[in-house]
Amino acid sequence: MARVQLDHITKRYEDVTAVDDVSMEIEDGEFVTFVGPSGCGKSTTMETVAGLTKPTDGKVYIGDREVTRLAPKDRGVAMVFQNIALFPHMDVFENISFGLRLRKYDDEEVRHRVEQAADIVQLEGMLDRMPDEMSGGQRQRVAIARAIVRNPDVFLMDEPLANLDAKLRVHMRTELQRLHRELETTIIYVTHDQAEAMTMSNRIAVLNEGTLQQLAPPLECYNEPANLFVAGFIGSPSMNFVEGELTATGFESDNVDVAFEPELVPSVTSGDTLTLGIRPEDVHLVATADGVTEPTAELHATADVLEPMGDEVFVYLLLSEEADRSMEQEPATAPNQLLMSVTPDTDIHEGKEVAVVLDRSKIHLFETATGDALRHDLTEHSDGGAGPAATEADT
Amino acid sequence: MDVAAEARRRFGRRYNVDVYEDHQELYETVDAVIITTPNKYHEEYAVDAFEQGIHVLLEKPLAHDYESASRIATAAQETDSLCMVGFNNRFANTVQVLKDRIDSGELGDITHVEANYVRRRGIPGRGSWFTRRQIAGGGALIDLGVHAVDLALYLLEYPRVTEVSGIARSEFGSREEYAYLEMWGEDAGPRGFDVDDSASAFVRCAEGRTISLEVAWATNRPSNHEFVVRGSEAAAQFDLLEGGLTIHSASTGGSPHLENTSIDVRQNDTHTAEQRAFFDRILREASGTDGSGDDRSESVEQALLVQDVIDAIYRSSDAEATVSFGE
Repeated sequence: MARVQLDHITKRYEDVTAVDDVSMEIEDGEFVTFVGPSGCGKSTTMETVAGLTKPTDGKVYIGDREVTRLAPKDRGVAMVFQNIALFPHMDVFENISFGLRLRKYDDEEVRHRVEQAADIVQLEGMLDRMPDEMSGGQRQRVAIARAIVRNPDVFLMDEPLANLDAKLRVHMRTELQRLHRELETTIIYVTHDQAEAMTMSNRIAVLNEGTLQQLAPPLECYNEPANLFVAGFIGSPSMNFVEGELTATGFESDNVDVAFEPELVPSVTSGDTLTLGIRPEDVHLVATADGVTEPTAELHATADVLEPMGDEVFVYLLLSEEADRSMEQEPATAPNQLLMSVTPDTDIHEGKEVAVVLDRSKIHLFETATGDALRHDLTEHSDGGAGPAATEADT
Repeated sequence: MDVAAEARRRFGRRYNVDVYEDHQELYETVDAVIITTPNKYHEEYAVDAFEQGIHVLLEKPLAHDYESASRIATAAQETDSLCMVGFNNRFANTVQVLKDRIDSGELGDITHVEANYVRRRGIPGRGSWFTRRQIAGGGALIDLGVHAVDLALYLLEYPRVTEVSGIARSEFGSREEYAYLEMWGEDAGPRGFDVDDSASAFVRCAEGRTISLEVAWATNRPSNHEFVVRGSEAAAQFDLLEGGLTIHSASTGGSPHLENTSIDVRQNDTHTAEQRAFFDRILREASGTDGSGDDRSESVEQALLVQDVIDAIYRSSDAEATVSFGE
């Protein structure tokens, strides 16, 4: 087991900077997920830990050892990839033990380790099967067992569940959590799937365009996103964003006004452009907003489109008369649209005129120019909820 | 070692050495092996060798498909074995002289490589494993294309590949009336021929560098093995089989002029040079000196990229669309 430290890692190719000055410390035994859209640099960052890529600048430490220039096999890491790379000519036992025999362990030690690893991933009794006789999920367990027998200091997993079907993926998620609990080994996990990131990790590292946006526990990224990118990326469906202006009385935009004391956001001044963020579940119908202790003033809207999901219903609200249904804009960011989620028993239908309020304690304010979060709570007596401190990556 | 008894017997008699039916028996007695099996079997023999700590010179292509190639490359990285892939054309004296000129800056920034490996009628052993997709993984593109793609990328110093567009055609191999003058191997007719016999592709790399690729076992065109390397200061032209390097430049000194400098190079046996480089590198690593200095023998990761490009050309051909290389 070991902690992992990335110290100002930059990876430049001829024409692109894939990773741009990323620093982080991952604690011994921690499960950290690198998440972000395609091309954000998450895989390249992990490859610098694995040794598959040498950074252009910066250093990588595993434990107390600098490993920046070491070969992958000398780093004490074990990798599990998206494409399940089992050797088709070897049975499960031989696949799991690959590399062990080379390391001069005697046959008994090899058998002991393989059986133990097979036990952990629940593959008992399957050691003499060939890969083509197994399901995708079983093959991925073999790949994980192959990593386990190495007894690595750090597990590196790059989208290991991406090729599995949806049901199996959910099952393997809990398997990996159990594995982490049993082995207590440091795990770095790369995914573009924010549900995987949210459910499994101690902390998630959100990356975009090669830079680290936020490194924090999942719920902190959800409740106190450091900037507009994290706010929009974490959470499904995405947070609503409304662009407006700071005035002497609060936030004003074409369709949404929220009154508050401008001192709540001391780093910006009247006239600055702000973006207000509110998650769909924090938009409430006035009729059912009893639980909201500090609601905003009422907003009047029309229910445009309903999406019943079973356990909840997504309601696309139109805030203004002159409906701007431009298909070129993401629904959640169209200036006159607001996405609300309600329970299935709610009395609502397409075309219905409704009054809604926002939960002030769940309103996020961002400086539009920089994207940085200014505040995550607009209740009058709040202590800030976050404020500029929320933008600090190291918690 | 050979699974075919007759081949074993012939080899043993010709070189007066012990021969083996089972590769594991051979692996108990050697430090290094050269694997020249059909493409599909590369993985089994190479991976088993890595596991015994045996160094491998693997005949190109790395494997019959990208997945197998990727497993071989990963296994090589996980062990201490050296894995060199048989891109023997890099070792041609002509290519090494050209590489030296490129490195010295004489050609400026290299922008484009025209890579041609075109036979007019030269399908190898129709009916043999070469012409069966299941064993070879493809036809002319995987057989000749890997040489052309590797050499082009090698001369461009292995840039990042961003996009591939191509087509693989199968026009002649399955014809009953296939006209040829000579054939490498025996002709068992068109039966079982299910691979491409020509391919054209355009490969886009970082910073606007590009490769145009033409490969064929058979096509209606005179054969062509010409490589043209275009740079910002000069171009170079050579024939992959004949050698013969020419540098084409232009200058205004005195009076504007075009200059074509012909360079005569001693022809060498590239396979011998390649094997020598393989053994030299093993000896250097064994003696503790860093063996990674020879850029001609740095090849497993590069061979994986070549395989990725070949695979992308096949996918592009199937999809009739450009294939992007993403993160």
